[in-house]
Amino acid sequence: MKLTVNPVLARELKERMRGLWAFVAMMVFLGLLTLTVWVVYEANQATSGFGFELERQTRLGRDLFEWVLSIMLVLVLFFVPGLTAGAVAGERERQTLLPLQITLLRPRHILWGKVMASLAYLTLLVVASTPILAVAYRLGGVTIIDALVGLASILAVGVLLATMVVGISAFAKRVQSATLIAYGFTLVLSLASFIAYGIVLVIDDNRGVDPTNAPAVLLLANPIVFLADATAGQNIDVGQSPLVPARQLLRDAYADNDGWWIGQSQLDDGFVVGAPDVFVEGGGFGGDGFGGDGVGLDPPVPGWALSLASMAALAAALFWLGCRRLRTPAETER
Amino acid sequence: MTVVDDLASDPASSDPASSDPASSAPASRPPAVRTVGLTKRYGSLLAVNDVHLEVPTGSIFGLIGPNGAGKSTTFAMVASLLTPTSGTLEVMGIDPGADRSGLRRRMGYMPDTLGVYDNLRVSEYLEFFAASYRVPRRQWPRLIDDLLELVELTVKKDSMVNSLSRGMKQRLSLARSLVHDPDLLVLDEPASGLDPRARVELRDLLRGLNAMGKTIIISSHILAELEEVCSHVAIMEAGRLLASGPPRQILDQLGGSRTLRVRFADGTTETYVVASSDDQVALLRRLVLGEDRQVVEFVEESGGLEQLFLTVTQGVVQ
Repeated sequence: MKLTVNPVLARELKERMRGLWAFVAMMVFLGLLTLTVWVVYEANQATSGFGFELERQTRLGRDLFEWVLSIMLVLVLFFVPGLTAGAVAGERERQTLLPLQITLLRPRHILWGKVMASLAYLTLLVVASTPILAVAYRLGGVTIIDALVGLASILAVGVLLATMVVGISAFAKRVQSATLIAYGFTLVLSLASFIAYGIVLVIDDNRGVDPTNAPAVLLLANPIVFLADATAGQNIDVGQSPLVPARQLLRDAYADNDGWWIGQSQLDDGFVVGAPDVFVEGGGFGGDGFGGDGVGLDPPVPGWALSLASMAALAAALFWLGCRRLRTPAETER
Repeated sequence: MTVVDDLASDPASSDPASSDPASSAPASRPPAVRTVGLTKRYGSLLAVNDVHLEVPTGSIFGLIGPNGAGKSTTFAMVASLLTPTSGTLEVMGIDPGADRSGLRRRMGYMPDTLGVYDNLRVSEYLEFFAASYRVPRRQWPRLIDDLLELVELTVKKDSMVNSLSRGMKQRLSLARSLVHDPDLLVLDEPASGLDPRARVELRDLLRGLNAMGKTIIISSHILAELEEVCSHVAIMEAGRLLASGPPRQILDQLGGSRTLRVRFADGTTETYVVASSDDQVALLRRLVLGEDRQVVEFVEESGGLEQLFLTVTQGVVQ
């Protein structure tokens, strides 16, 4: 079988790596991660009390790891829309879309080339940041698997977000409007699930005796929740990283419902018979904790997998819409 | 000659099948483009209205008309970029809606916009489009050298695209549309923004491509350019096709006049206005040469196509 490189991918990489911006962005990315390590380290040194040196060091290593991943996620959420918003809108703006559409490339080839170019650059950023993560690994509290899962999670969020933004870009006529829409969308993606969950929670609290709770599934289509659950390792309830509250929220939401949606036990008799589950070593929800019936709550499908699947479904839908928008002959394009 | 304004409302008479065959096209070859009742509507705007057109294979076919006449929309439909609202369209015997890939393999399209990737070298730009048209990689070096030689950009092979002048970018765009060696070239306003020298070069280039057997459909506002190079023209206004065929044939049928200038050896110049037919011009030539005076020059004033355009169109804007 003959392997061919997507021409759009090859051209995008060539153009991107020729510009100064790619290197400036990388410097900013790595600089901010390095600054994070320094700030977390100094803060830890200033606040850590007495205790065994090894335990302190391990906790610092874990904190550093989660902080670096958190900042990396924020940077990815910030960089990816900027890198990909102009994918199709830019072609339209510089009037190169028509010559491209008239070739033998199908819309999906064009959009996929753009997504892959973003993924390639993102991979470069993530690989370049591994020495920074290695500091945390050296201190302890983080295994190689933890580090790999963390980096893979960041890449997964990056590629899915890039796919969504490329789909959005197909609908915009100008890079400026595409960028605005892309950042707005990313903000909604990052916060909407928390807000929706909060609203349902408030409504639920005001309904009095109704035993149902806000469904945990509302939290899932969210990159922060995904990263938090995917990287849940040992001692996940301790530490100061921003991922800890997200994990606790997800765990509580799940426990309140005895499942991702509305708990079956609640629906059966109108009373909550489940009880909070516990996290166990190895990550995710534990199965041998204390429950009302003595049986732990072990999700049939892990939260991170559902979260990933929901984001992938959204990305696929937007990609499909983007392909439809670029389809020729077009019904209307004026 | 086919349709003239007042006949256009009569579908029977505007049907290309009922009109004379294009004079210079070989009778056995099917037309490169055939449209029957081609219509494109955007909401209430009728961009292209019931156009019946035949582009003879091997011709250089000029589509002329004022801004908003529907030329670019017609081109976009021919290039399989837009779906007609109604009517039928056949390009190289292919229905663009049914076999896009088949059509695009045989057609090169140069839109009226000059879009190029600034951060690429000239050779890389052509390589990208060669890859996009699935031209085998081993053919690229030779192909790109040949194309650059054809459009006279060989010395710019390693230059960045953004360093090229507008005329050079225009020629590069033309090379791009030739990268897969198409039989049909659809060029939308290729001469816009070019200086006089670049226009002459483009004209020569089009003649050369036509001599290589390519059918060329071209639109332009610069009528003198088209007059020099086109074997057939079609005139559009407000989405309607007003006339099509060889320019001289259209003029003859319109009953227009031709202006001829004769310069004599004694330094005097006389101008004659005759009926549009070639017979009339030949008769005048015989008469003038039959006189005792020495003729130095016998030329037709240019502006035939311009005159034709002004005669046929009414300045309608929609």
